[in-house]
Amino acid sequence: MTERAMPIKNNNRRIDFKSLLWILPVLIVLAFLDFYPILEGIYFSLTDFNQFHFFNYGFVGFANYSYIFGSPELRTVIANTLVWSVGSTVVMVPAGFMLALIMNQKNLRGKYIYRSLYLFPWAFPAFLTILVWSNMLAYNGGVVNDLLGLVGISSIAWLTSPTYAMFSIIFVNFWLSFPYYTFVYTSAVQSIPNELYEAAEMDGYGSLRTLTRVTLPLLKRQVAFITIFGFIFTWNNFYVPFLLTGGGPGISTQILITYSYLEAFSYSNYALGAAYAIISILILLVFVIVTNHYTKMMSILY
Amino acid sequence: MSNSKKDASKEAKSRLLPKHGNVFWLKGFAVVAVTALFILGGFVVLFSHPQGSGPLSTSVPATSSNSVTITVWGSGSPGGEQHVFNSTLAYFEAQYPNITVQDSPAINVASTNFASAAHAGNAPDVYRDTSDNAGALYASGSVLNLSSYLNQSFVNSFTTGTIKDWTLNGALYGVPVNTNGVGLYYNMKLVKTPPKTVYQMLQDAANVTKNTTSTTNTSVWGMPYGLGTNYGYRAAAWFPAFGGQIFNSQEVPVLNSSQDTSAVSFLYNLTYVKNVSPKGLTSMAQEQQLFETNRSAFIIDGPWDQSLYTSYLGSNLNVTALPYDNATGHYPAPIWGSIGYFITSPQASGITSSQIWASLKFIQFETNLTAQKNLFTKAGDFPSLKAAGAFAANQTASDPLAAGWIAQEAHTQIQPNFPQMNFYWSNFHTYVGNLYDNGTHNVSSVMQAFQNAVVSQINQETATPAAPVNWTLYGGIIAAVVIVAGVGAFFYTSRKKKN
Amino acid sequence: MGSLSLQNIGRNFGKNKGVFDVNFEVENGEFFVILGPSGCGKTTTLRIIAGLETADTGHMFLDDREITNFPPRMRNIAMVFQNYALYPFMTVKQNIQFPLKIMKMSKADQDAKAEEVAKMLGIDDLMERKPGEISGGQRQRVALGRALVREPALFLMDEPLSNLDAKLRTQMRVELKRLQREFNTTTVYVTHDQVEATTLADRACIMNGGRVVQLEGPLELYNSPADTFVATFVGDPPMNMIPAKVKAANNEVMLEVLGQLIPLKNFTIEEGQEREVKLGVRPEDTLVGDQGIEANLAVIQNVGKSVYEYFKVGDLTIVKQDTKNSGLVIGQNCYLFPDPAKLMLFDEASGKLIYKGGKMVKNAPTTA
Ligand SMILES: Nc1ncnc2c1ncn2[C@@H]1O[C@H](COP(=O)(O)OP(=O)(O)OP(=O)(O)O)[C@@H](O)[C@H]1O
Ligand SMILES: [Mg+2]
Repeated sequence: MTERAMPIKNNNRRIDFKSLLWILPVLIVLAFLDFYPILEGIYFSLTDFNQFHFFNYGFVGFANYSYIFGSPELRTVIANTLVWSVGSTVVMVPAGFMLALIMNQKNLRGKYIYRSLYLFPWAFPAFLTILVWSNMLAYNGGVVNDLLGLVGISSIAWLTSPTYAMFSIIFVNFWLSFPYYTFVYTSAVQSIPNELYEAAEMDGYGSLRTLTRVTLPLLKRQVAFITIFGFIFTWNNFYVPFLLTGGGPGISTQILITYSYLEAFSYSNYALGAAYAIISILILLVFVIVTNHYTKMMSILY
Repeated sequence: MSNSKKDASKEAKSRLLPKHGNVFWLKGFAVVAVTALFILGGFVVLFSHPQGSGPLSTSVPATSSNSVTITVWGSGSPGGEQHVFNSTLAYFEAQYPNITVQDSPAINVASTNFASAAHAGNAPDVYRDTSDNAGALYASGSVLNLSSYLNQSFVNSFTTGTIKDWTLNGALYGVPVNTNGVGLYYNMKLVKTPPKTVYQMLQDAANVTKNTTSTTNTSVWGMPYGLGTNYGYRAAAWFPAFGGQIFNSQEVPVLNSSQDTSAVSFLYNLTYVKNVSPKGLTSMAQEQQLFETNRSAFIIDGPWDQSLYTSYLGSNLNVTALPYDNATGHYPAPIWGSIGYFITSPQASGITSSQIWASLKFIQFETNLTAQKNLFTKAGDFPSLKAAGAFAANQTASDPLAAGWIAQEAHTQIQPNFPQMNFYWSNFHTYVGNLYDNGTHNVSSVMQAFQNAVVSQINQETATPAAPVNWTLYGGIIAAVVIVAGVGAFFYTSRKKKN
Repeated sequence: MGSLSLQNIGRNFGKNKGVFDVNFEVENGEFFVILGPSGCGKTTTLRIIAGLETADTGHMFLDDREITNFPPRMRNIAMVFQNYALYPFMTVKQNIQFPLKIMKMSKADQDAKAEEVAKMLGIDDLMERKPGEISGGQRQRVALGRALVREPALFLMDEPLSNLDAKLRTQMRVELKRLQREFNTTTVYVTHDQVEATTLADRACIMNGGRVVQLEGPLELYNSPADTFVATFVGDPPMNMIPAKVKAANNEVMLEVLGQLIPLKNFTIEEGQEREVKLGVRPEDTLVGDQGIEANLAVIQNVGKSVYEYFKVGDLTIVKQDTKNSGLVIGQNCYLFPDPAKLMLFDEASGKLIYKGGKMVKNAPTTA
């Protein structure tokens, strides 16, 4: 840690065209794997490709986008996506972090048992877990409501009321994902030399102060990166809302990605679905560029 | 490679990676972004011309002595249907040794998969699906119009209802293999005689309901009904009972009509006013569980689940027609849909005229009297052929459940199979689903929103491009974006270096 | 300001690893060095003193207060870690101020304090840099500074110079000694480098296998090692160890070594008896003469101010050190003999020193 190379001031400002040659193969592969589907998606979003114009679709410019921006659903869906992504991220990432800290305490016994245990739900096929949760949260005969009944609380429509559905899918997503974040943070936490903690301990820093003054500043980049990565991943996490509530009730749990799917495959309006997907990608792109500007989190990838 | 060159390359790499850091990434990004935008421009130009539809061959050989291979998707649900399909197929191949049938595993069978395959020109030659899915696919141009290939006497051998179900704008686009819909199952342990009227049904349901809130497991419900489950399929039966419909004869949705609103109110009231249904039902499985364990008196469902219920309730299971509404003077009319076989268009599958010939032979074989008799006896599918229907009625004269289905068949509606119907399903789920707990509880506002959504989507999809594409405008926008992105990226990269 | 006392301190990691029965006292203001080979338990001992490791047995006192079970922060002890343990995200100034941040001290006082310490260490012009932007020696000073600002009762240093290059190490050694004098802080210093020990220590102890084997002033360790381990560990190149026998016959006590007989004064042994011993001769006490052990010169190593000559005697290698070349050439045979006044004898069985400087060592073990 202390051996981190100091940033070298670089005065050579010319673009090194020869160096571009080195990434050319990567660019070509990317072009086929990434850019082709993206570009085709962009193209479709500018057409009227749907069940009525299946073979004879044509370019309609930004008609799909103006339809979307004029539709009353867009605001709800974007708000849902934000609530879903932010809500999930702010619980699962810190929880994963805290658990990683707890799991890596130096005098914790049975670390390996806990580690296997907390990885277990993550290793379990997600759709099965989601199915189990959907049964547990069922209004009638669900374990959760039965338990609430025992303490005299009347049943709550966890998945079928607009009030609780978003909360429920965030909760299930939290339950599903935080072991993963624990796992990711474990390596970051383990990379901190023990002496840094011991030095703080000798200077009289308690656990909470050590966390805020030592651990967090040391892992600033990792925390930023993992948080932003978690946000992006959740933004596009289709399965939990799709399988638990299908976007309902109403559109109270529709997020951009499920709504895009709904438009494309339930209504066979492929162009509109593509346009929703592009809007989602654009929002994310802006988000990543802006956050990277402030947190420099991408530097972890260099 | 000389040593000095090697070193230079090493140096270039090491300079590229850690030191340039952020700056390099941004430069790369700028380059990629600019390239991407140019490629995008290219794509737009390439694809902007509507694809010409290939000439559709209408000359079909009466016979073909050359060997021909056809691909088929959709052998039916596992069990009886699949079994009958396979035995019919074996018989078919024996009859037509020059035709080879490639049956695709059922895993691929989904209309979304079919749509992507059709769009890519890789659709199978023959596909099996419901009449409404097929109708949408026909509207998309992926399905062949069979009217000119099939003679009138063949068409006349099917029931009028099923043929109507497979006809869109005067074109017969597939051959029905069965016909069915939902009826009212009841548990004779809880309800002795079938209700004849809606009033009676509600009475029976209220008598049976014992809602012991303390423990959900002992509650008994008259008529559990999840409003948003089944995507409006079962609910559609109740519009006619109140004099309503989904689409009017001009194929315009009328979901906000007072009749349709009353129908949904009636279903809503089962839970929230009459209290004969538990709250929060989200899946058919929950209703089925109650019915199978003698904890509910009624369930609205189709013959495809009959063997399942028999296995739980035995002789206590019975079925009857959805009861007459004495207040409105109308019968409920469940959607009487049909599954059938259809042939894809050359555009969707590249099908040749001899393959069309072979496909026609194949679907005629799969829907013939023998096949349908087998399907009825082995899989409980109600036939679409008049002759097979007579056979079925004869077979089941003594079966009380069959009597119930025959009674129901008298009051049905043909499944609307025009593409607009597509908007009914998910929107029903979305909007009527909003009536759930803590939702709006306002049926008429929900129905109005439902109507608006369907209308707006139909308009959006059917709209033709308003004006010819203004290339100067779009070219200008693309150029502006490229310039702004490029300048922005360079500004950003050079500013970056200061810190 | 701080006197430390360890009584029967032990920490067993199992499999005979850890430290056992460690006893020593460090006086106020003393520079105390723990010297020993890798894995002998130096760090463990230091960590027990710091409170980062708990002792299974024994007691520990700082200024007559028992601190055995105190948590680290209650001990008023500062430690300089082997890898400095600086916080990479803080500037030098913030690193130095880190221990003060937790104290009730005004910002101005903190600044003044840090400034004062930095001046003393000569790093006051680096205050705004990050640890990644300064040299190893400078980092070392920052780590010292962070320990110094606290004005602790006791200073612990775990091989603080081992990450520096040879030249810087020599320089820092002088610096450390000066600082320690200046601050007059009691210091426990761990090293495996005996030159460091001899130059820095007021007193040193040698550990081996988790036990203290000798506790003495640094020169005594060299001049009268308690046993063969200390004898070979202290000194570079190490002391020559040659199996030998003491014989008393014809009223003469003789040392028989590699077939040669050397008369031995003042060795207590009964007439007619023999005793197995180890002959220890420092390289600088190995002499070349006309008679003695026949040896063959194998390697000459000239490092400037001294010359090391490696001789082969059978399987044994004997090292001789002198300020100048002996004039022999490689492959040449010659005769070696130990300086009789300087040779040491160790008990064969226990390895303990029994004879040194021409006389028997007090309380030396006798043959059973
Ligand atoms: N936490 C521990 N658990 C088990 N064994 C340990 C632990 N810490 C140290 N040891 C063992 O105890 C012995 C003494 O270790 P210690 O770190 O004190 O050695 P050292 O004298 O400082 O060595 P070095 O000069 O290499 O730093 C070693 O054999 C080591 O492997
Ligand atoms: Mg050590």
